[in-house]
Amino acid sequence: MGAYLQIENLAARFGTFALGPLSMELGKGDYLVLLGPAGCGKTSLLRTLAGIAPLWQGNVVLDGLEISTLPPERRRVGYVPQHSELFPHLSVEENLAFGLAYAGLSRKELKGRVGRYLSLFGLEAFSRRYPGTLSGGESKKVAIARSLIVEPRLLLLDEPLGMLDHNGRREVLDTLRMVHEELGATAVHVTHDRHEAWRIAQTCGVMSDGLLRQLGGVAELFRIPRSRFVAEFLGGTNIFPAEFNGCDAKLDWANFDLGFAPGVPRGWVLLRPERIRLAADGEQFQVRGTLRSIRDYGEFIELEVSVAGDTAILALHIGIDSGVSLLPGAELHLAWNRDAAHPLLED
Amino acid sequence: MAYNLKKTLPPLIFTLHLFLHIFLGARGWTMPFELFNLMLLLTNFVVMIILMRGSADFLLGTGVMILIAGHGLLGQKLAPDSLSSGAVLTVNILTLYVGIKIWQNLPCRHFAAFAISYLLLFYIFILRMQNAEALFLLALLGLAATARSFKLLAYFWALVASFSFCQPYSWEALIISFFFLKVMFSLRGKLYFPAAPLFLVSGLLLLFLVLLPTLALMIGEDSRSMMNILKLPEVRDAIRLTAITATISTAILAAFCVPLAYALSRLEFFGKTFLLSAIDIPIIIPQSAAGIAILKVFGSQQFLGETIFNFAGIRFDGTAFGICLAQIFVGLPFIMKGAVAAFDSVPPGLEQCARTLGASSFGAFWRVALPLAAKGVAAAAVLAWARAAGEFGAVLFVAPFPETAPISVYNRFTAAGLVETAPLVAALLFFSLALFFLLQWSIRLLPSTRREED
Repeated sequence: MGAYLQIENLAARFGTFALGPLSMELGKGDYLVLLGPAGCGKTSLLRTLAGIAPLWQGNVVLDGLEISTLPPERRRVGYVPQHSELFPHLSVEENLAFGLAYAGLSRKELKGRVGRYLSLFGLEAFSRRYPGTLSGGESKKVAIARSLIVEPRLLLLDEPLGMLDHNGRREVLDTLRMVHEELGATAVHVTHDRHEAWRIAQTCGVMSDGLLRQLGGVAELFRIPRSRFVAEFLGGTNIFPAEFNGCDAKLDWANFDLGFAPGVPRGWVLLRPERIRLAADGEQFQVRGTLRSIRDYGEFIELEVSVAGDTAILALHIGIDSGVSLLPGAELHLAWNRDAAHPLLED
Repeated sequence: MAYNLKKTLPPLIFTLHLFLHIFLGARGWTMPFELFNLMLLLTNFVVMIILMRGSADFLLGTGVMILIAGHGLLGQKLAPDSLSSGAVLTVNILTLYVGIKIWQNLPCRHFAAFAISYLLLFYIFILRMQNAEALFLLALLGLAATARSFKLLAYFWALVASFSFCQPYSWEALIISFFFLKVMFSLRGKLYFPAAPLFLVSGLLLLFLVLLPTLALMIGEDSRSMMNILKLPEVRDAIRLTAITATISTAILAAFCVPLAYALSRLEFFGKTFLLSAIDIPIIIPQSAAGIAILKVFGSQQFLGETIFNFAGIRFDGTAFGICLAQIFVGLPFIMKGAVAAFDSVPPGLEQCARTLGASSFGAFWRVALPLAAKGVAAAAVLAWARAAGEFGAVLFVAPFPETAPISVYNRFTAAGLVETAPLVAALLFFSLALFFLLQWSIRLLPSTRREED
């Protein structure tokens, strides 16, 4: 018995763009956020899973059932497109009831189900309104409710927080949390915004050029990125090319002790800015540098320190170190613990 | 100075009036004991008292006094009897009142428009037309009522111009010019971009070329002769036949063309562009050529026509089937073009969403694409119906008998001439325009794909 959702070697082609081959697994009730830059194939993957875009090869097993050959209406996969695509000729409650026409419910059951979902999504006040009169956040909530009301086995969300204003994002985010925590829906949510992922994801994947680069828990992905692309996409700075020799990483301007042998001759080293500190007097430090600029963000201070020629590293400081005068041009001693440096073995 | 003028001018005018009344009366120029003249003198006195007490508008009061005095002086030279003279005086006072109010309360361009209008009316009715004093008074009443706003003044002038210069098309001119003015005054939007309103004006001018003959025909015929002609059995048969065949043709067109339009809108295939162009063929070729072409294939002497007759017993030349065939031929491009555009305006994403919600592809068409395209499809069907009902050329060659309405008009014209045919045409126009606008209006109630802006 495999996982709830199993994707094996899925591949598709759209014009000149190739998606996959791509494999992954998802447990029941998981909430996966797929991250990737524009044009990386996130939407294509969702459309392929929903059955509205053709698939070239591969298997998709959902809840023990092979769905890749089924037409979309028999897959029981809910799809919330980026532009919501509410039916403009139907009111909100008629939009919700649209899919229930195929569920074989009695009129009374149908009404009850629509009423329950309207209240669950806080949409009672809008039930008679038409989609043209709704705000972006309201439309999105209706679209999510419309997909979930037919009780799909998998929910696909295409940039659900994209193109919304601040309030709309918060509203929809609360709705998505509710969907995940109370309804226990298994969902795949794609976005290009990593902050969105951190707010809601349990599991997170990073895609580029039609391929899944890494899949894992949010913390894992952030702490132990496998490749330079993933580290950069998740907001990593201080990434330097390095040569690995045993447990040592050799950089242009320093040598690091990684504590383990990466097993490949060269790669990159990610040095986490928030783990770099100013060495206290007399403490052993790793590198000496000149302060290039200092930016105060209130919660933290960002120091840009040049260590060797053009190479600069960023250090994030929480609280101000009173012993050091922080003016550009000052000489600083930077120190970090061994786990601040993480080797990246792939590009 | 102004104070003195106010105190001295009213008695001065009254004294002058009194002097002229007596002096000129004595010399036999006016009739001092005539009731109308005496009443004028009395009125002048009353107005003077009111003005002297300072409780009235000085300008208006003085003006009225001068008018009264002048009328008293001219006596009945202006009009043949006291009643008419009184009417002239009343209108003059009203005009004076309106003129002074406009002068006092509105920007001076309003007064200029008022004064120019007055002079123009005077020129038109007194100098240009002889013996039109009564009309002039009537026009002055209209001017007094409308001069306070440019919009009303424009409508007033449209009325005056239509009836004094546009004979015998005065009613048509009136309807068209009122419509034109209504359009101009309702202009909203990008007025800072003056090209668009200019284009609108030039376009409307051309539109009037279409409207004028239509209106002239409809207004020119009296309703009794139209009713009489509609009572003729052959006319009734022709109209009934036209309505039935056009409806059947449109139903057949809708049944085949709406699904085809959906397919053309959703699919890409080899020859799609060619197919879309081929749809236009019935528009491009002359109607008579279309009729001949249909006969060449479906005529009873031809292979296909003969074969169909042998199998189904249907002949096309000279039957209602032939009429329908010709109507389908000419109506096809109208419904196809509209329906394709209507389906193009429905985003395919909506149907894909419907599929993920459990709808089959037929369900998505039936519950999403078709309702959203309904407006455009229905408008296209109405156009096709109108085209089918109005088809003359093709039907004339395929089936000149039984007579449809357009053929009946032609036959009547060749047999009896313009005067006999005009009432029938007017009746047909009323009938078809009423139906057309009713259908257009009901289409508005259908849903549309237009999404409101966020």
